[in-house]
Amino acid sequence: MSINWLAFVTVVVAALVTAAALMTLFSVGLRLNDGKERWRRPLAVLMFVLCGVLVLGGIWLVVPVLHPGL
Amino acid sequence: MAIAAVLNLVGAFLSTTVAQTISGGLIREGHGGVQITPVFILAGLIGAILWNLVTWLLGLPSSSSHALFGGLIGAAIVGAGFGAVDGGVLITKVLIPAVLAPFTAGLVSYIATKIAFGVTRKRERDGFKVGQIFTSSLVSLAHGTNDAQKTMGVITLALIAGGFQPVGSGPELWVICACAVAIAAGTYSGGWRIIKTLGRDITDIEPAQGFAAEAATTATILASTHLGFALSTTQVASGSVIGTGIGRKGASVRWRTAGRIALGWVVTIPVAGVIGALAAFLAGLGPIGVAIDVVVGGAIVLVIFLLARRNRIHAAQFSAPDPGVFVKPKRRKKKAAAA
Repeated sequence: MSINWLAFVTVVVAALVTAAALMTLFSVGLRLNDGKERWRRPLAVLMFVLCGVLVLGGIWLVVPVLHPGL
Repeated sequence: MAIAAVLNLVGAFLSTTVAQTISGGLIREGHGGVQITPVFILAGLIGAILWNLVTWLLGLPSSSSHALFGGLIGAAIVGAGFGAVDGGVLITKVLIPAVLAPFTAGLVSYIATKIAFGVTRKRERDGFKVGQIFTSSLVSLAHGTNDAQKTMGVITLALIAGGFQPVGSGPELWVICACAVAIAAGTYSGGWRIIKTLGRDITDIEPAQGFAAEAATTATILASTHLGFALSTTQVASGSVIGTGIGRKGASVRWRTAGRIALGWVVTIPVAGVIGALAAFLAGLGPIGVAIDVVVGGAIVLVIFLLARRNRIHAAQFSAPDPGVFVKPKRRKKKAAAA
């Protein structure tokens, strides 16, 4: 019986990268939001939008029906 | 609560890989392997249900997924010999993920927590409360993809064993719908009690940690589901909670409590297996045996519920253990001053 170690590594790496990316984007967004300067708001919003993109992208990757070509 | 229920529902439809691990992989059915009959599946379920209720009564957080696996395996072994269980699948898609997943979630949660506290300043962290609305929704979604799947897998296994479906086929659409609806309904009806209990003990966990733990839980569950790994959402969520607790400065982990709960988990598959095997043995004796299984099983369930009402134990144990169980957070300065 051969064990597919690559699969386990994939899980750990994928989970780590995704969660770390999400947390970084969200935290940077929160940090940027702190203050009255005009340039802060749009950048913070951009961060949060990227969060959404990341999440949707992740779901797209996981759901087989959404990517029949892959 | 409605949001959580809906997302669980959606999640269940998104992927059927885990269901196929259960129905096609774990227990060999059909000509290639040994014959598993629906009666033995019933025995396996009885094993799982009884063990779940016993741990609920004793107040031990336990993995209903592992009780399910244990029960099925025990019944299959008695019913059709060791050849009925695909050891390869058992190890690669059930046992190794079972150990790996909570540690993964813990590591991911730890790092996410470090990032959160490193990048944001204290006054900015309230924003995580808003973020948590999204991350907890994602946990519901991820939970749907994994847990509803196991139920589908078992039902499909029963259908294949009963000859209603060809060997090796995936879950039928009506099965997917039924399981998705069941999980959603369960979330909707039982969810409030769980939220209240968790909410009480979560006061010592900051929103940033909640966000980190939930993100870690979602990421771990979705990544695993994608590969067809069946895992325990309870264990993954607990791993995340411990990870975030360690990640926060000054917090210490109640290792002894964690150890006790871990022991409960390790014991789950064998014990559920034994009960399942016992039920299968009785069932194998003929229709009278099956009747005994159902009647005795039902009686035990009733007794457990009556005992529970006397002790006023509530359903919180179905969810992840309270974070306060594992982690002693840093003492707030106000509390220390008041003491």
